[in-house]
Amino acid sequence: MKKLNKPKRGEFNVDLWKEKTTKDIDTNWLSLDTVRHTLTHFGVKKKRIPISLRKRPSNIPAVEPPHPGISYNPSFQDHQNLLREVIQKEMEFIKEEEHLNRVTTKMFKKVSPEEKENNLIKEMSEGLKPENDQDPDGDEDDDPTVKSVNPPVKNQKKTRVQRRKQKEQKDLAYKRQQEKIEKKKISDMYKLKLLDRQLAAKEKKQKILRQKRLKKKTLKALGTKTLSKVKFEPLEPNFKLSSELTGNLRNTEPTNNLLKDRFKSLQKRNIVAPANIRLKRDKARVKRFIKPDHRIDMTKIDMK
Amino acid sequence: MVVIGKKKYESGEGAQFLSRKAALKKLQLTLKEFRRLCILKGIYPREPRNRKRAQKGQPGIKTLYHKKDVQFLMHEPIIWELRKLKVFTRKVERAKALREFSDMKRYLSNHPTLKLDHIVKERYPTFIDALRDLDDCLTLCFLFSTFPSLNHVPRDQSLLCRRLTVEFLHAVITAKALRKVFVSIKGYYYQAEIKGQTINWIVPHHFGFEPQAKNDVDFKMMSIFVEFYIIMLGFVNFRLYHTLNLYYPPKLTTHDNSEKILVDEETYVSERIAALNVPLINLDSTLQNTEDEEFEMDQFTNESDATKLEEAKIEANKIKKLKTLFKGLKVFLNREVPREPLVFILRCFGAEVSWDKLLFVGASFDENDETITHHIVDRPNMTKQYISRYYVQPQWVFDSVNARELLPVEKYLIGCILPPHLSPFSDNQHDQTYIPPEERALMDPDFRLNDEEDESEEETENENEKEENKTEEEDLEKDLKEEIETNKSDEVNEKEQERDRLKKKMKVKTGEVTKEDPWEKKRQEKQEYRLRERMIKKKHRKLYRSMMEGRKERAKEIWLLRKKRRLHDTAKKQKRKEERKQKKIKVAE
Repeated sequence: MKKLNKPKRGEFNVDLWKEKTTKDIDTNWLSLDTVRHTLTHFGVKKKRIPISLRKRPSNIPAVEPPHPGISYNPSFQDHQNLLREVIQKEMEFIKEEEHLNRVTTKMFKKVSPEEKENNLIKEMSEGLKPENDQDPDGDEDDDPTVKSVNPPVKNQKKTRVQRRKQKEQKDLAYKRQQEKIEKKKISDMYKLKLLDRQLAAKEKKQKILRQKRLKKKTLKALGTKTLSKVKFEPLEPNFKLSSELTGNLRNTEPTNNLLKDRFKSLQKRNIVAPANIRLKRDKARVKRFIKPDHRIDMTKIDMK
Repeated sequence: MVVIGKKKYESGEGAQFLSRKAALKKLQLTLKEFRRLCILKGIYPREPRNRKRAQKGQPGIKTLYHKKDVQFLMHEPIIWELRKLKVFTRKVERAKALREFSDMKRYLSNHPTLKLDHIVKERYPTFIDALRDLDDCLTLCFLFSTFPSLNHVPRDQSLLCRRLTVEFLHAVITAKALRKVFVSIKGYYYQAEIKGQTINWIVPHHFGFEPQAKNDVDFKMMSIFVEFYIIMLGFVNFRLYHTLNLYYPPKLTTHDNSEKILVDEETYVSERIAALNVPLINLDSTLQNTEDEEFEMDQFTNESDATKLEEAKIEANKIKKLKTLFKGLKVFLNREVPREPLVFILRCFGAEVSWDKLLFVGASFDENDETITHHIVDRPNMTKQYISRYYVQPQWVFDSVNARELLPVEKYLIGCILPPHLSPFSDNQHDQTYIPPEERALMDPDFRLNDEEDESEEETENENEKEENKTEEEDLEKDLKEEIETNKSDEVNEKEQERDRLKKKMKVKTGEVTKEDPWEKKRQEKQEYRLRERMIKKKHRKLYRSMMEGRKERAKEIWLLRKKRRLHDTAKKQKRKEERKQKKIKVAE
């Protein structure tokens, strides 16, 4: 009986979106908080659902409109356009690859293994005396007194006069600075127009920057976000060369894998964080064995 | 000593986000369960504004979740089910290890299932919301319906996908909701309009299953998506069927006893439904289909623009025509033609379809039926052909749907080289671009090429010349006769005319409607337009000017190209004429 009552997959016999009458309460005119409060007291709990659930994580449509060039029997112009786009992308990719190659691999000299060995020996033996030529009187010093590179520091005290003069100088400098500020205040009053202009210019610049930032933000909202440390890589465009186009439905072969397309689409729309798929287990499998004293050897048992 | 003041990251962005690991800890779930829960509930990772702050100063890029989202997940009753599932697998494993197979069997038969109904309702509070998000659902379900049973995919999933997608297709057929079709190398793109929502989906080409490269796609994750989408599609189907006045697990009208004996009834019915060829039973037979009722568009809309209203009306008319596009046609599909998409499309617009009996169940008439109007063939030639029908290639169906009218079959006949299959999804905003007439004829079926008319014109021209000569002579004779008659009656008329003139002065005339001078009106409008132009803000003036200049330039270019074409055409015509003349002269000699 219990088993019969269990929900079965693939059985749909209710209208999920049918309006349910909430026990004699007209909630139309109540505020949200009031509704929540009253409903809990009527035994109908109402969860507050985060607003983000209503929003889509991206503005990109789930099924993007297809390029007319991927038709099984495209017009010449559309097909050429598609090929051009593909070529452009490929060229960019090659350029980037070349750049990286130039900047990394090609930047360093290539060294043969023998040369490397020699270099290592040379580097390691730097500063050591070669073994074969021994000079007995090369570096040895006979002078017994050793001089330090840094002489010892002495603590010299200033006299009172020196201190007073120093203080007087400091006060004077402060006074001069203060005077300068006062002077500037007066001169600024005659520069009001200039200041106004400067402020206006600054504000204008800020406004432009703000607009730029907003634009960038809206653009960014359209694209794919970085959700994990693995970078999102878009699906390579699928196309057919003109020689591969047959022109009829019978002989067309599918090019790409729709599952991969869907998977990438989910990643593109910020629903799934891109990740490296691990195929091998990281952890070592537990090796199972029977302890020797538990093992039952059938040959040794006498069957009498 | 106690540090007084706020700690870092206790408020602001640092407090709003949780890393995935922290979320796992908070929910007390394993990564696998957490992933599943997130997909089912529609909670996705977020990108923070300031990553360093959101990650509490930690370097690198981590997958972050909103704290409130995680708190929302915490209340989900499904978590308990997931925990039960963990216990269940442990039990089964243990029973297996101890070789207690009866226990294992008992556990397995009592497999806990997740009930996702409330999640569907929660994620899509109204039916329209669900329809809006159906693109992904349909595409994935159609895709998974082609899969065999695989690792990581529950055994009944692909079968269930198949069932639900076919049911959905049935709903689309009865609602006549299909709008566009596009056959690409990826698969079939469809667009349907249900309750004012446009739904796009892709159906893969029907080929044998290709094993997937393992490191490309996370199969398990995709199957979790499908697990949710199945439930969603089921409820959408239920609702759709009931709004269309149909039984929900669909029922068939016809019951042929002869075939019923062969297989058990359920498979028989499901196969028949999969054949898409028979109408389903109505819930309430007294009610006719509500969709069929014609509803008139509102005359009053908030759009003041009359042209827009007119456009909308034309569009509605076209759609109405589209719904009965293939009505009255009887189509037979040859065996090399992809059956399912074609049956679906043809049935959507009212055609009767059948195929070879041995190919699939549900064939309603044979190939030798004389009433068949179209036979769809995708091979270069056929040995046995009937005269009473057209042998067309399948692209005729797709192109007719996209053009919203029955295209002439000449270009699509058997063995013909087909015209290109254009995408109906690319918005053909060919505003202000030159389109050569050949291309335009492809896109716009109403547009006729000049060439065809030209030839017929030329022929008629010659005839006209002869006729003109005749008529001129007749005219001269007529004029002479009239002149003589008028001279006689002139004198008598003069007196009568004066009396009439006096009478007319006393008469009360009906008021005349003052005619507006069209030229004056145009002038006025032009002036107003100029005034409006003057009102443009200084800020936008430059933009406006450059826009108008661009428009003018493009118009000029089009004009130039048109002129070139016209000159070219007339030159060609002249040449042809001369050739014909010379031919005639030769013949005469």
